[in-house]
Parts: sequence; C-alpha cells; structure tokens
Amino acid sequence: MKDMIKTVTVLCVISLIAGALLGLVNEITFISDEEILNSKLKTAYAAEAFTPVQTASEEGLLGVYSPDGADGVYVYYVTDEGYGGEIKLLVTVENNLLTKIVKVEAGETAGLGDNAFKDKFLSQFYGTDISTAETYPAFPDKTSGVDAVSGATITSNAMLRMINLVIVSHKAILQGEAA
Amino acid sequence: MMKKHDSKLKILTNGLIKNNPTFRLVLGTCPTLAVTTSAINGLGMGLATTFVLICSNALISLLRKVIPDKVRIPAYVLIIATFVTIVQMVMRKYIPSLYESLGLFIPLIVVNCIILARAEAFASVNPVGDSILDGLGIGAGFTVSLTCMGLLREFFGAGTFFGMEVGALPNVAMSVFVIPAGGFIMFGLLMALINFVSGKIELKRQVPVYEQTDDDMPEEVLND
Repeated sequence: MKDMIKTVTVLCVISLIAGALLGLVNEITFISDEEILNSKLKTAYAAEAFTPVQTASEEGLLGVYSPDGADGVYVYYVTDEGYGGEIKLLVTVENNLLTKIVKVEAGETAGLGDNAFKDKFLSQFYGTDISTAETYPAFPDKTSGVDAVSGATITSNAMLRMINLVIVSHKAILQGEAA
Repeated sequence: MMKKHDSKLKILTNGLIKNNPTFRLVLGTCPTLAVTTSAINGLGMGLATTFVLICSNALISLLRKVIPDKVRIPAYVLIIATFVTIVQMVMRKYIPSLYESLGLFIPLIVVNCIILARAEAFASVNPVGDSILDGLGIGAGFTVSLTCMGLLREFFGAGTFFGMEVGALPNVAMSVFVIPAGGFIMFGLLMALINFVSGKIELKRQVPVYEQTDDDMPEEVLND
C-alpha cells in the first residue's frame, strides 16, 4: 500500500512539473496560425497588412487577400493533395499577371517533389496573364508548353491544379468586378 | 585526478566512434533513414535529439533515487516527451523552415531508442555530471552520423551541398539516394566503411605475441 502511494505521488509530481514547464514554454513560444499566415503573406507581396476578399467558395481555395494600399493585387491561398500530403501555396497576381508563388506548407520528398518550389519550375508561370490564360492540362500532356519536375509528376500536377484554381478564381473575381 | 579526467573524456568520446549510436549500436534507424535526405535536415534532427538527450539524461539522473523501479519506464518516457514537446514548440516559433522539413519526425524523437536506452543504461545509474557528458557524447555521435549521411545522400541524390547547387551535378544526380532504398544502401556502405576503419584501428592497437612482456600477461597466468 505504502509502495503504491509513493509510486503514484512520484508520478503525479513529475507530471505537475512537466506540465508547468510546458505551460511556461508555450507562453513564450506561442504563435497562432494567423500570425504564420501573415508572415507568409508578407513574403508573397511586400505590404504592411492584408484584407480578405469575399469570393465564391471553391474547393481548394482557402482565401483571397488584397494588400492594403495596392490596387489590382490579389494573393490567392490555395491547397491540393501532393505526393506527401497537403500542399498549401500563396499565389500573387499583380494586375492580372502571376508574379510569385510561395510555399506555405508541403511534405514533398527533398530532391524530387521539393524541386517544384524552386525557381527552375516556378519561373515557367511567372509573367502569365491570368485573365486570358487557359487552364493547364495534367502531365504527361505537354501541349501547354510547361515542363514537369522530373521524377515528380504527382507533385507537378498538384501545382498545376492549384494554378488552374487561381486562374478560375481570378477570372471569377474580374467578372464580379465588371458586373 | 588524472584518471578522473581521463574517464570524463572517455564518456564524451564514447559516443563518437566506439559506441556510435547510428553505425555501431544501430539505434534510432527510423529517423536516420527518413530524415537524411538532405544535410541540413540531418543536422537539425541531430541537434534536436542531442538537446533532448542532454536534458532527459540530466533530469533522469537527478531523480534516479526517487523514481520507483516499477514505474521507471513511464516516468522516463514522460520526461523525454516533455523535452521533445519543448523542442517542437521552440522550433515552430524560431526555425519554421526546419520545423516544416522535419515534420512528423520531431515528435517521433520521443520513441527514439537511443534516448530511452541511454536513460536505462547510463542516466539511471550515474551522477548528473557524467550523464550530461554521456548525453552530449552520444548526441554528438548521432548528429555527426546523420549529417554525414545527409551530406552524401544529398550530394549524390540531388547534386547539392547544404541546399546549394554544385555546378551541373543536379542534372545528373542519382535520385535513388533520396528515396528509402538509396537510404538503406548509403547506410550499409557507411557502416561497412566504419567497421573496416575500426577493425584496422583495433588491429593496430593489439600488441603482437612476440613483443609481449610479463606486464602484458594476466596475473593468473604469471602466478601459476
């Protein structure tokens, strides 16, 4: 009986100390999802603050943001299934031109799928006029003229689907503005 | 005094070659293979594990006379999990890129056999100072092993060095080395290399029979 009381007491005390330590570190290091998104938005477009834009809901479209003080600039927050889980991207469209793609989250293989976030692949899309672009067909269809990341077709196709989503969403926003 | 300093140094260097956790003890193979697709990932994982090793060894050694034998494993795991969670929270805030690369493997440090093995084998029966040194030594050995694996796999598999492209190598890289099969191959090759080198060193250390003097003979034989 005495043994059991000692055992339980020791475990309780260790748990309490562990809990207190974790609570303390959490206080110091807490960072909300919103803060993370904000810091990523700032790498997609240099601005002090961003305002969410109301759009029709689409599968994979997590949000559209407009930087304060910049007209005609939209940052699309999109997601799709990659090879190693969800990929989340921020795609910047300035005056209908796609100017930047920033990785927010991805679990792709280093050296293979991860190369889809490097300039060699992404620069193919920079400068495209989103308002007039056609959606990209999935690889291995090469009629669109863009190259996939070698050895990473699944990741490359996921990237294409997300860019297609941006094209569709942007055109919808432009139509909404024109109406 | 000389002997004490010697043994402290021995505890520290123990983990680097003789008891290298990756290539000699073959512990913690899961994160080793999964995380070494690039040098920086290997280095980051090694350092995170070293931090947990030192802290958990220290605390477990401090509480070694208090924790009842019956519940020592749950107590150790609780302590190890606490430090891993701390590492995770700190990484998420201050090194988000590494946190994203290592992903699921950070919480898996909790069940890394190396940490529990050192807790059982060393920290639970040695004073705090020695336990910290042991954690540092084994952790350093793990970090060096992981970084080497990462460097080689990244170099041959992606043609980069710590993320920087090496000339035109990325175009002729052997992708097999960044997938699990290549990981095993590299692991085996490195282990063979280290065993070969260790064997040579052991052979050199052995004193040949014809050079042995009475000092080399064990006491029982001399007194016979």
